[in-house]
Amino acid sequence: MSHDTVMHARGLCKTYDTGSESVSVLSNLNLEVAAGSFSVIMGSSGSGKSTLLYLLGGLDRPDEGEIVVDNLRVDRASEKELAGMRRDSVSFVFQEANLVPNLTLLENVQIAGLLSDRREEVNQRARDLMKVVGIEDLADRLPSQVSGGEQQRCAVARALINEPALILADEPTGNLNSASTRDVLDLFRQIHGQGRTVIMVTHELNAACCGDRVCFMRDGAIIGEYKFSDDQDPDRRERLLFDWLSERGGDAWRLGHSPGQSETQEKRCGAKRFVHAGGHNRYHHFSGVAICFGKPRQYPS
Amino acid sequence: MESPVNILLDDLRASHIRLELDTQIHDKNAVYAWFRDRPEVVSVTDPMAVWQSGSDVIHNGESIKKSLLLIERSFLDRDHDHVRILDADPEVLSGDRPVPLPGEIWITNQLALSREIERGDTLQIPTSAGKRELQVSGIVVDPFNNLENVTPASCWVAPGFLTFMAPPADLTEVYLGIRVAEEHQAEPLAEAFRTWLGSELAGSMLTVKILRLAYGLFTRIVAVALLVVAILALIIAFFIISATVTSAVFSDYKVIGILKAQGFTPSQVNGIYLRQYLLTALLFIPPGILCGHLIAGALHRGAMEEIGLLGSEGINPWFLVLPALLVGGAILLCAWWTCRRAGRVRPMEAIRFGAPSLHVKGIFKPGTLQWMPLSVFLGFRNILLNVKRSVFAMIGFGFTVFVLVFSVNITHSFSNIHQHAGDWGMVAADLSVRLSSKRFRVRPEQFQEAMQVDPAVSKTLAHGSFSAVLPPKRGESPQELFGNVFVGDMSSFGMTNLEGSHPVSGDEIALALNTARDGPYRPGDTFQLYAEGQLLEFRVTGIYQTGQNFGQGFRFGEAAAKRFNPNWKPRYYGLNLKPGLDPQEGKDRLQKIWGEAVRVTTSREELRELVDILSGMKFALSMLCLVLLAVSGVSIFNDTILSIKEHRKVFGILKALGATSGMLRMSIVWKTLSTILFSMLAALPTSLWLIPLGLGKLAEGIGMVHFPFSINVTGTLLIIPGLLLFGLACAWLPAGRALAVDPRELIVE
Repeated sequence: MSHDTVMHARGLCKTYDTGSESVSVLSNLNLEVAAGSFSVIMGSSGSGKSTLLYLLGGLDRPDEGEIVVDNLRVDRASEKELAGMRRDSVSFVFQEANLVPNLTLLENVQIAGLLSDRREEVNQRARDLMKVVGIEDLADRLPSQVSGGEQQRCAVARALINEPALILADEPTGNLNSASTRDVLDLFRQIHGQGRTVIMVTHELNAACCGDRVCFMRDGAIIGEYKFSDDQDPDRRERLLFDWLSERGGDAWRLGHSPGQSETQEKRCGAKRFVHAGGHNRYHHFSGVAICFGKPRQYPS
Repeated sequence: MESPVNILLDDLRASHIRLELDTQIHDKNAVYAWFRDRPEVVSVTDPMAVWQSGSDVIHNGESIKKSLLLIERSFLDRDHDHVRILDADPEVLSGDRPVPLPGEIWITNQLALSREIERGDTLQIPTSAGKRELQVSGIVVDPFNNLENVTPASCWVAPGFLTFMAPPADLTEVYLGIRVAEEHQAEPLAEAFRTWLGSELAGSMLTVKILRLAYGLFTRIVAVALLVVAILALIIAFFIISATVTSAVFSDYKVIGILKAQGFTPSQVNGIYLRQYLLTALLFIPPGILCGHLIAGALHRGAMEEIGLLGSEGINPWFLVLPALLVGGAILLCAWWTCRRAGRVRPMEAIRFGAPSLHVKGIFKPGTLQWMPLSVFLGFRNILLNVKRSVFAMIGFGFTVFVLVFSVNITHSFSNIHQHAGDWGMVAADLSVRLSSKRFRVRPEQFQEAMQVDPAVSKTLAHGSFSAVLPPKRGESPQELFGNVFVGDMSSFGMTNLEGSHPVSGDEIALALNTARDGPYRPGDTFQLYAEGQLLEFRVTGIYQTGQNFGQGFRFGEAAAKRFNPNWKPRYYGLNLKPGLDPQEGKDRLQKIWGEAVRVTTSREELRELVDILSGMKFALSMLCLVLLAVSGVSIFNDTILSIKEHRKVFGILKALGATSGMLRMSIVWKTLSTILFSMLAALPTSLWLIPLGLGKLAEGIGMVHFPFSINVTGTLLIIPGLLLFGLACAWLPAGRALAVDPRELIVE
């Protein structure tokens, strides 16, 4: 691992036993992430994106291969070392905010800080972060009293409180409406802009365009990688990424009715007709399946 | 548990009245004739000669510390008052010889069991002519004489044998047994006898009602304690069922919503949970019945063995089945009531939002988290999240604390009773000396003078007993009253008054609480007492409490006793030894100096019978504590499992954030420890305030309004770490489930 690499994974294999049969989720996967980069992982449902994130974050162990995060051999680390890594080096942002329901937003942010050794001024740090993510006025609210977007922003603040070397985000905008999606993605851009390393799993093209590279997964392996250049504006990035994805070929890129796909995705992508509505709303047809990004509006046929 | 007594009384055709008469005062033939001629009397036994030994009866070289009442067994075949012979010579068992031979003694089964005496053993009985050896040739059961707490213990000897044990002048007492047609006629007959007698009864009279009371006393106390524990256990069982079902409903909230959306009716949904949890609850009723049967059977066998009826009758199975049915019904009701919650789930809300989350806000200040250990914070939070359940758990622990505090301190109070003898109406002395009235005698003045110069003795209080009669009120018979006479300062031996002061002059008297209440008499009132053929008036100076004679009695000074009998002399001495001297050494020394002229006992020995009662009580209290601790343990275990189940997702989140498994386990343990600590903080002071108050109320009937409750500070304080360790042990094991929570479940593929 070179000195500017914060994480690398080599030869990762993972199989789940479903009882009657074994399902291979990851197969000889290799990935290297440079410090300060923003990597996006895309792929259809069941391609192994989230499993990869589990393994990188030490929530699960690979059957084969090695993972090194911040100089720690994650695949060989003890439970205590893994807990320490999740506390100090790696933070998660999940598709659902996963806030502790009976704690206020402030306490949810604080509690992650309290787990680390840096307990001093945790209250002030938590308030500062809530200000950064724009929910400082909601400090005393419970998660059930705020919107999904606000919950997710709180989850981002929680992920940042221990200043981790790596942030792992698993479809952080998957459950959000478009306005909240924009806000959360802006946050990730901001975090990345501050020099943090981010690995984000997403289905959405506009979310993927936040990163500086996109890794495309299929059948448990990374089959391609696209790197954005710094001078590309968001619209251009979307077009370039779409073209690149189109070149990867037919069935490889289905955002439609794949088994296990979320309801939100189905709603957005399974609709019969989408129309352009200004610069941010686009649709494309690819192999007979609608690929959407931006803010689609549905009209009656 | 009372059936063995009924069987015993019926089988042996026990007397309904047992009369002990002093034939120097009463005409035994006239008394016999009076009873025989009463229409309700079925039969009267011939007067049986009796003689009481001293308490230094030796068996296997050791004193059995119990005096014996030797009764001559009659050759005549009586219609009632039989004894059951459990072990004896073959000719006795075959009925060829119904009496012991001269030199032999029959003892009660109870005495044999408690003192480990067997047939063939020898008892050395002190007589005025020295020790007399009698061989135990029979173990028998007699309903009137088979109780541990009755002193002296009755024994049977050959007809006419008592003349070998005591001089004729000492053989003045006889026993008469009277059986009536119906048991309820016994009390009115006894009252009619007192009226016919017209004077104080020189002797004693025991009716079957008192006998039943004596037999059932311990059983009733245990029964009340068991009933209280059973009710508590049932309440905790309801709580556990309710908490478990509620927790399951919350866990399955979304599934319930889906089922209802698919057409399940509320009653169908209720039925799922009702069958599931009712089945689990009902599964444990048969083992419960089995355990109950075994325990009740063991208690029953113990009672039957004592009265020689072992194996003759088992427990009526309905007594086991009926409570089981009642408990089953109560559990069904509780489970049905709680399961209704599942039927009330609204499908749309359940599917979209899941179970409503519990909230608690504003308890901790924003900065609190910074300094509070996270596991402690989470523990407190969990308590506050389900206040109802926490309060219920606290009440349960509080009750356990109450029983533990009661057990520790009541044991301590009885163990140190000699230090508070004054509060029990007794002389708080290191040593108690009784001057002998037999062969070797010492004059009271001589003993008093010797004690005043004895280097080991610091204080002396001479005293004696005094029997008198209260003049009858209209329509009532005269009442015998036992009192104490003191020569010296009563206060210096710990004696106190609830009101007023000790009597000093010859016309002053202090009354025991119940005697004063019966009057009623207050300090300053005039009180009349009849004794030695005189009716004298006294001025009441004080009212005191005593644990003797059901709170009846009186105290006065030597001058007052001498108004009745100028020759009255004290026969007892309370001695306080100089500081640092051991009472046992003091006793041995005095006994060595004075020999048979005095009988010295230490305060502990003096109170041995009370301490004996304590040993029985200790066992019952220990069992009660064990049952309560077991119930609390189950409650903690269940609550811990439920907490983990309910907070599974939160634990997953915290693990994903970097919390270690140990940290999560500790948060669960902290919750339990905090609950116990809070309940102890409330229950400990409350118990220490409530117990003496309650004991005072309970003992009010026997004249002890201020129960001498002595707090064992160390023992009471040890309850705190003891219960915390118990809670830790009960929570630690199930809290291990927190380790198994897998944060992967949080991530959606």
